[in-house]
Amino acid sequence: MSNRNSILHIGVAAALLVAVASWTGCTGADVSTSGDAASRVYVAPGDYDEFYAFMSGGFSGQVTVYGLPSGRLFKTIPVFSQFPENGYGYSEETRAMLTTSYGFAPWDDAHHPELSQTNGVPDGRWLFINANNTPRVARIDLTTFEADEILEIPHSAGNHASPFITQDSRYIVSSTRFSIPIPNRDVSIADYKKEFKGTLSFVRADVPGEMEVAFQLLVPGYDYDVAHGGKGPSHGWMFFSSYNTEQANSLLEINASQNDKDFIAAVNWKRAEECVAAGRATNTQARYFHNHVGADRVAVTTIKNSVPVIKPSDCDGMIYYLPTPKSPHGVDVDPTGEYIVAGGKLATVIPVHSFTKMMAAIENEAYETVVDGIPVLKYEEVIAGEVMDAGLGPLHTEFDANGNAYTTAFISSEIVKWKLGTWEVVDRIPVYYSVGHLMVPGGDSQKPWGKYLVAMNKITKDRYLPTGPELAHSAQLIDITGEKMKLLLDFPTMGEPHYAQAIPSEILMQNSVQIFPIEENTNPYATKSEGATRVERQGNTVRVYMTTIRSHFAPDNIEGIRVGDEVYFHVTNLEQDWDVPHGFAILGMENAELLVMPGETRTLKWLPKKEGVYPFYCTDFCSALHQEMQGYVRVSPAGARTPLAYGTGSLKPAS
Amino acid sequence: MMCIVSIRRRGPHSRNENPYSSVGIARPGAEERPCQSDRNPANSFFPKSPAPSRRRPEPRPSNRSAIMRRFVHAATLIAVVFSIALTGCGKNDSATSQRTTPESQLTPEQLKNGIGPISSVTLDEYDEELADKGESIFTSKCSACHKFGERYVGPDLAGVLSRRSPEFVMNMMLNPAEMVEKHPEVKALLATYLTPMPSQNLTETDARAILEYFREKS
Repeated sequence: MSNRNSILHIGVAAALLVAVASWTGCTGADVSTSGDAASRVYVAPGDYDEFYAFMSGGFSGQVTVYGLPSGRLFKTIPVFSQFPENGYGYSEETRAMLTTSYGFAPWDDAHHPELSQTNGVPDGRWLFINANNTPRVARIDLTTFEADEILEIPHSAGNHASPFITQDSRYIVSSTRFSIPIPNRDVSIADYKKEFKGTLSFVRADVPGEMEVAFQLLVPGYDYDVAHGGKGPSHGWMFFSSYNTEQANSLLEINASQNDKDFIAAVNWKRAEECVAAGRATNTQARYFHNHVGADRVAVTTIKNSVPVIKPSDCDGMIYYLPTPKSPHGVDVDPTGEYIVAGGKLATVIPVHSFTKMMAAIENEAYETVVDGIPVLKYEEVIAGEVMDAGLGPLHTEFDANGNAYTTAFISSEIVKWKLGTWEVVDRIPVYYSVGHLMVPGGDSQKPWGKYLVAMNKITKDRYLPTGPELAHSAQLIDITGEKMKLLLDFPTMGEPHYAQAIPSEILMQNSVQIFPIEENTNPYATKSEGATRVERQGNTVRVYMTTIRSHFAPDNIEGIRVGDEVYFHVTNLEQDWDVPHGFAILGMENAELLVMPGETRTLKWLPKKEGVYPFYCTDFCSALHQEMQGYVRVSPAGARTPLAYGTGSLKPAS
Repeated sequence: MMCIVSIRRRGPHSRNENPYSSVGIARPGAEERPCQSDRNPANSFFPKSPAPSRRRPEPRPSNRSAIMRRFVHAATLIAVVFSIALTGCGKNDSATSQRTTPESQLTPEQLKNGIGPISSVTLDEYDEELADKGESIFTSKCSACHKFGERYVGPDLAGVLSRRSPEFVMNMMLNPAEMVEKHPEVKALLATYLTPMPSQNLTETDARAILEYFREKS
């Protein structure tokens, strides 16, 4: 730990030096932001950020945790991709997390983090996120910052409009960006219009370990894109944007941009619940996986075989379409629950629908037409207003607590601030470059904390030192406390953050777990004291029950392993002190290291292929004698008679 | 084949400019350089079992001495940094930071009983049941480093109660970080054994039980 301390001291000294140097006017850094921007984002060494921000990793498949306003990266939480840094998706305890009905999926594309809510306010219990490629949703426990549950979504492809949440965390949703034959089968792609369908799924999310697809709506084969839940008066409704109402199956950039308007699907899920309860859904065969980390911290898979599917024609009043100009992307509900804001990728205005008008239009049956049993409401009957001159390519909108909306304009690279109700644009600020999502802390909830806005930009170009063809995506922190937005900070991100959520630090930090009590470790292969360490052979399977504590392994000498054995290192970290994980890696292994948290057991499978002596060591600098934390495994040829023996200090024969 | 590398900074985009449009186009001032080169579920693996709770943190700050230490270090660093700053903007590579450790000013009581939550322990009649409980905690949390009758990672615990007061022993278990930092005898032990005793998150009840086990062993 002393090295960590000295590094800390050097860091502190450097930061202070920089701070002092800038007070004394020694630096010549040209900051293109307002003069006090540096002090607004400066979090002094040892101080804490105001907010935790959770950003999706996009094509990294993970979630990253940042502090705001500093923009400091604290952690990567592995979710949908293997993570050799700590063994997630490699260790025997975590591999099941990435299994799917398609097989073991080592990678996915994670898009939209969503915090759990109570009464419409993020509560800090869990963070949900979707996998876009192999459709799944995951729960991250915000006491451990670990993914502990993943549910596959059947009858789905391209799970993009997900996992947006209801204000009571009862449901998160999932949908098909890519419509497909349902059930999926061998059909001609040219039969798209006849055979391809979409699904809108509602996943029960409020009981940890028991996520389940409560029901799916079978809907026309459009591309369902983004969603957001109603709130307050509109609680009980979920809104999904769609495009490709043309139902093109090729060259969508042209063929799916023909119609003047596509749809926002407004789903009355409380009505759907009634219909399901009345037996109007069909339990349909579908094979999908539910992976869950149990109380023993071991992930297991349960295979599900059926899902309730309900058709709009079997449940009147369950779903309506709101015509919305030009391939809408984002659909965002303001904090009052009255306004439903759409971002049309190709539109020049931002259309805002009114929930009150929508309900009246439903009451009056103001239908333009009916598609597959779904009434299409008249545009002029539901529209509350259009924001003019809102930038080019409006995509996503978040809100503050003062009646302001902030919309990203992708093509014109800017954030546009406008007033709910008057639809008047009141400010705009350029961002660098091509902004996709934006995030205001609590900005999609009923009570935005406001203060900051984070723009998540798709193109970085010249904002940072060049790093070859691939550049980090750039996030930009903007102050929204005043009339005018002010750019405060650029910071790089991991993968591609599509969306983010933020929550005040004090809500989370007191709940953060520091250790796992060793006496409560129920991993079936845990070794709870050094005296219990041992090596056991059963046929070709060898189990090493190993412990770690600063700064040694027990056992640290093992003999009698043979080529062709299947060796399991069950490593239990006996430490009970915060921030003292131990690592484990062995020469030539073909998977990943293990990082074992205090009180936890993690297992690495090793298949020695050649005779020799194989050193192993602790990979996480743990103490002054960390470099001494090492050991040897002797591997003899297949069939050798080397007795199985192990020890720390002296070898003893295995019983 | 040429690679285009520009390190010139660009201004903000005008509202109608799509940054995609500049992909691959050399801007004025761009420097042209040659390229370097043309270039199964593990379900059945684990039996099922029941549930641990997880330990939550004590409210921070948890350790007054750590904060004091941080404060002292920070003050030292601030002083050093200011002295560098005051020498002007020129480079001062020779500047070194001097860490000062505050002189330990322990009371005779602390020297005898150690530093920590335990100020007095009354040893009644030996309690075998308590000692058994202590042995089981010791086995899980302490035996990886301590043995009786031989030096291991940490000191030999044989006869520990004839060398230390019961309060000292319990404070060492409950507050090792501060003991290692401040108590002269523990500092000396660290110099010999090099591995500072880690906190094993024991409760006072745990530590008392282990003390009873030490009574049994002595």
